[in-house]
Amino acid sequence: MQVPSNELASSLIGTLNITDIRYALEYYGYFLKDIPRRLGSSAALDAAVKALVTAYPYFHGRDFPPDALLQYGRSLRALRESLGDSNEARSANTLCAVYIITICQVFSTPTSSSMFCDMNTDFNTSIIHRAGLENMTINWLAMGKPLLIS
Amino acid sequence: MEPKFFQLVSDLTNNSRMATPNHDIPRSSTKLPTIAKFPQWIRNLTPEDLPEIAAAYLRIRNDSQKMRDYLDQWPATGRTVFSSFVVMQRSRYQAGYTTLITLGLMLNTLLRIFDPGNTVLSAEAAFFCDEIVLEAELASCYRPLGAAYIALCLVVAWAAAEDLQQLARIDSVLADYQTDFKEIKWKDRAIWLRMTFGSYRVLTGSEAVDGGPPGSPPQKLRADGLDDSSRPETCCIM
Repeated sequence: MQVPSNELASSLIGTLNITDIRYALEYYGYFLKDIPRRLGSSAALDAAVKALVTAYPYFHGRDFPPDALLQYGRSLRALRESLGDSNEARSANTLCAVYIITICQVFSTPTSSSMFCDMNTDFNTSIIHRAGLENMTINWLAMGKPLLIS
Repeated sequence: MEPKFFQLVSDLTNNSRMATPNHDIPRSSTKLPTIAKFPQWIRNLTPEDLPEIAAAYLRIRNDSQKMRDYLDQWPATGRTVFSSFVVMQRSRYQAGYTTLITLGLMLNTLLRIFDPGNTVLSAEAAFFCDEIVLEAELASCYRPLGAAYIALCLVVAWAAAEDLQQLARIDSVLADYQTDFKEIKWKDRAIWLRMTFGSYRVLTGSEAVDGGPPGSPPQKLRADGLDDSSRPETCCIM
């Protein structure tokens, strides 16, 4: 089991503590406040959160630094690896990672970059054909954790 | 989605509402299984869907009226403090109301495909379009994230509007909101949706191929030529 990343959790908590409704990540779901305690147990979720907190300061009308794009690419790779693991593929953490990466897509994907078009295509393909998102969601709900019910 | 998915969601939402009941606030009574049918109704509409669509539309219309009345009674907050809990509550309720009337407008447009001469439906559609534009202007102060839902509502309004002046106004507001998240091409989605509605009108004979008066006999309903390959990428709701 990975050691929880306090720095990553702190970054996420700091981002979630922004209550200005114009910039509050809470828009994407109240359940996001439950993510920090899950960090450290899933490489995909950690990478997705890392991408999110890196991209967040730049999401509105600012050029994204190379590090934000790098973290986004790493999150896709980590997700792909999780989807290749039969245990991880259907876990709640992986489902959360998918959702968070989707947020990152809106924030940080430059339309002019063919590299990121390819990465997004790979991401969408992975989700549709390899994740079995419906079964994943059902298994997660059956655990009784209202993570996506706000 | 499998039926057990909706049962699980229902069980979880019922448990969460029992913990914090607040029966005084009007809410949408449309359930997730109905909302899950919207993509199917838009992409593969059949006459057999009409009774269910009509029932869903009436429910949404009635709920939206109650929510509108509740919003109108909301006390003025004075100067907007964007971190205020009250401001957040109101903005979320506005978002719920605007999303609901957007769903209603979608169903209204589908119903008018089969009943193009229905003046009540036409008047309600015009009202919904005006409401969406009004709410878009009111929510503008919450941009970008606090009003991120508005663009999708404007897409539907753009696809459904029939009055050219109203359409021009919607187009202007949508172009403004486009600047918030440049990566998502909202206009492409609006065009696709409008073409989808138009293709159904042609197939039902309520509109000629060139958009003129009815003339062709009804045919099997399929949005031919508007398959998934022409649907804008990542257009998840539709």
